[in-house]
Formats: sequence, structure tokens, C-alpha cells
Amino acid sequence: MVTTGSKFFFAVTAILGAILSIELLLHLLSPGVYLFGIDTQQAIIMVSAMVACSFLGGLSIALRDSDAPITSAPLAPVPHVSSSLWPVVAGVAITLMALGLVTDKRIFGVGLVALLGAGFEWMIQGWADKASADAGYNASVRSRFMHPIEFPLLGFAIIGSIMFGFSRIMLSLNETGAIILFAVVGSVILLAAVALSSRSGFSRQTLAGVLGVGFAVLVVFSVVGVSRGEHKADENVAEVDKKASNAVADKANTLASVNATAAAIEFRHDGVVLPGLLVPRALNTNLMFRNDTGEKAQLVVESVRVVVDKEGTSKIEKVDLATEFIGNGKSKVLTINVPKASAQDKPYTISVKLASGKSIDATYGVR
Amino acid sequence: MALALPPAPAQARTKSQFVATGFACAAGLMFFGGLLGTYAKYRHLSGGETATWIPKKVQLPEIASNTMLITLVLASITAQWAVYAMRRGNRRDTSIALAVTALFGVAVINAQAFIYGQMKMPIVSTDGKPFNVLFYAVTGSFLFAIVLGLGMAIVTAFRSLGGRFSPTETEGVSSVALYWHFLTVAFAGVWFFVYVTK
Repeated sequence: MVTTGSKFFFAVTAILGAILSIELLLHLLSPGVYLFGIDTQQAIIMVSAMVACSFLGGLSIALRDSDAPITSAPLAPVPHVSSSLWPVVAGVAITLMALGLVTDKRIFGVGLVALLGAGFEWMIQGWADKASADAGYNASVRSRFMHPIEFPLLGFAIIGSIMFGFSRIMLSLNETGAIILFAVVGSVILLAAVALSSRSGFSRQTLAGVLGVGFAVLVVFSVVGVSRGEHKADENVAEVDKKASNAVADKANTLASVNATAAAIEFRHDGVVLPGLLVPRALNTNLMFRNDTGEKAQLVVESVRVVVDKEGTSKIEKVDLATEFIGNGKSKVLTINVPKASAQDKPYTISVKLASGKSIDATYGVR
Repeated sequence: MALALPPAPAQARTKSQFVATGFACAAGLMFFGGLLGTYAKYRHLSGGETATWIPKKVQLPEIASNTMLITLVLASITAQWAVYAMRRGNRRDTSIALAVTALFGVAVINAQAFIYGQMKMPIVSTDGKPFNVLFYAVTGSFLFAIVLGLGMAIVTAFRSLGGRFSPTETEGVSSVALYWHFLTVAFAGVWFFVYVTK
């Protein structure tokens, strides 16, 4: 007998079947004529819906609409099932994984970790719910098992997030901005802590609220920091050689010493002033930069190379190298490698950029 | 004073796992229907012929795809064997049947990997045609569904060995069998559209 629950599914199947039949019949009798304008894709989806609905209708009949059998025996009490957040977390994790597949592998990784974590938590909660008929006891069973795992991980995640958030904010600010901001933030935290501790008997909710707001503010500013990116001393310089060597071997093996004063750049080798600087291409070469400009300065070497892409089109690409800004009277080694003669007609330039924004340029040949 | 009887305890739902699996299978059927519909639409838009649809250098290995279909039919049979064995209280045969089903699943994954290896086709076509993306979307989704079925079969086999099921309580095993029947039906559609009609 057709059960009540199955009638809906069979009705949907019948309606879809009727629409498709009329469309097909019309198309067969007079090709090119469509009543509903159903294309191939829609037809296949409708057939799938018919198959799915008739399947569910059959399932409904087979299970007699899942009606519980009438019995005179007393019904067993329904086991207590506590509310759970883990299905939602798992759903979000699956969505993240799907997004990660088309955007960024790291998002996929986060989703995968979240899914595994949510699955484990869900499993443990399901297991704990069956421990007894007492919800309180079940919760304690779950806590006993999971808290030693959850608390360290939670602490690690919170501390890690705070560190990461602060690092993003710091990296997006310049030197002065970072000092000012963190002096202010430190003072605010201290004052807030003093204010809270001086109040007698403030509630846990108040503390949790303050910490929550603080964490949310940190997250917002770290997102802003990530979107701004790292602060660069000079936006025109592509790569700052932060690991510039100060090893004796490098200092002793320099092509020349580049001495910068406020007015000009001078090249010296073994104390002798050179008339010009000839840099070999495609070879690692050390330059010793000495800053006598009276302010912070950096040595910048700009050159170009020809890059051929997959389609065979060649284009010029900038290759910039620079030391960090160093103080007046300080020295720093810069290892450069001027690309091969593929961009022979493009000169390379050696310049010294000052912290005030001024630039002292010089152009020399290569061999 | 009004007198009333206390409310009856809530009735336990019957076969909730089996019904949930049924809904999941129906959703899966719709999902694959949608994917194959999209595949057919773009094939139609590209001229409706295999020559204009599939890139010239690409050869679809037919033997491997036919083997996949046959393997899935066998997996369907062994999954139903698990239900049969559990209804007779034979836990050992149930676990063996589910293990064989899982083994067939691994064989299907292996065949799909072989097909990918033979085709050596990039995910995104250089000529801008959607065949590559749609092929990997359809077959990749099916691989994901197979992996889920593998997980279900393995977990249920262990639960069966652990005494979770009995001749009167075969719901978990029946759910696995239902899912594997769904996989077979879904692959029949994929096989027809992607490997036969091309």
C-alpha cells in the first residue's frame, strides 16, 4: 500500500515525468518546438530528480513512513543527547576545504584540521552521551577525557593567535608607529588590568567580556595588518638583503668599497680611488658600502634581465638588490649578481638612498 | 480540579540511520545529475560531437572504465551479501563481505588513477575548452563518494566484529549496502555520459 509519506515523492516524480513527456512529445511531433524551453542540462537534472524522488518514495513505503510499531510493551526511555556544536564546526570545515581547493591550499589545510578535530570531538561526545542516563555524569565523563587535550590546544591556539596577530600589526607599521602603538597598547592593558583588579568582586563574565573584546580588536587590527602587508623602507626596492654578510671572508673579498658622502659616490679598491667600476655579469660580487652621508642610508643596485614566458614572449624584469638602512659611519657588505648579457642594452645603476628620501646615483659599465 | 494522564514518553525513531543514508543517496543522485547535466550542456554547446568536445590528443581508456563499472556491480553484490549474512547472525561473513566491498572500492580508485595516468590531461585546458575541468569535476566527485563508501564499509566491518549488530538490528549494514548501491547507480550514469557517449 502506498503510504502517506511516499505520496509526496511520487507526486513530484509524476509531475516532472508529465512535463518531460509533453516536451519530448512536442519535440518529436514538430522538431524545434518547445513548450517549457527545457534544454539538455535541465532535462538531465529533472530525470535525476525523478530518480531521486521515486527512490525516496520507495524507501518511504519500505519503511512504512518510519512509524513506530504499536506495541503494548512499555516504550524505552529516549536516551539523553546533549546539544552539540561539532556538526556546525564540521560543516564550516567542509566548506573551508571546498573553498581551499579553489583558492589557497592553506585554507584547505585549516579546513582539514578543523574537520578532523570536530569529528574527534563529536565522536567523544557521542560516546560520553551513552555513558549513563545522567546528563551531568555524562558531561563529567567527557570533560575528564577531553579537557587534558582541549585546554593545552586551546591555550596554544589563543597564544599563537595573539602572537601572530601582534606580529602582523608590527610588520605593517613603520619603526616609529610600532613604538607609539605598543606604548599605547601596553598602557591601555596595564590601566585596564589595574581598573579591574581594584574593583572588588567583578564577575567572571565581565573579565571574559573584556578579554573577548580585546581579542576581537586584535583580530580586526591583525586582519588590517595582513591586508596592508609588510611595511617596506623603500617601496621601489624589490629585495632588501637583510642577511648581508659581515663575514671576514666577504669583507676581504670585495670588488670595491662604495663610499657615499652627502654629495657623491666614490669607488675605492685597496685605498685607491677608482675612475669607474666594472662589475662582472652573472657572478656573485661583494661590494663594501660605507655610509658617510651624515644620515641613515642604503646601497641600492638596480638592474634588469630578460625573461621569456611560456608563450615565447620576452619581457624586461627589474632585479633590485639593496642593503638595509645603516647609520652614519657604518659599513655593510652587499653581494650582487648582475644578470647575464641578455639585457645588455639596459644599464645597471648603483645608487645610495638616504633616509630623507634623497638619492645619489651613479651608473657604471659591466663586462 | 482537572485530572490528566502524564504524557507518554517520546517514541524512538525507527531506522533513522537508514533513512538518513537514503536522503544522502538522493542528494548524491541529484548532485551527479546536476554535474552530468552541466557536462551534457557544454558538450552540446561545443557542437555535440565527441570530435569537437574532447581534445584531440586525449584518449579515454574504455577498458578501465568498463572494469570500474563491473567492479562496482560486484561491490553492490558483496554489500548486499553483508546484509544477508548479518540477518542470519553471521558476523564473520558480514565482516568479510564488507572487507571485500572495501577492496572493490580500492580497486575502483586504482582504476580511476590508472585512467588519470593514461590520459595525462591538465586540469585546465590550454585551448579554453571546459572538457578537462568537467571531466575532473565529475570523476573527482565520484572518487570522493567512493572514499566515503570505503570509510563506511571499514567502520561497519569493525562494528560488526565488535558485536554492534544482530539479526534483528541490521540497520548499519543495510545503510552501507544502500550507499554502495547508490555508488553503482551513480557510476553507471558517469560511465554512460563520460566514457561511452563521450
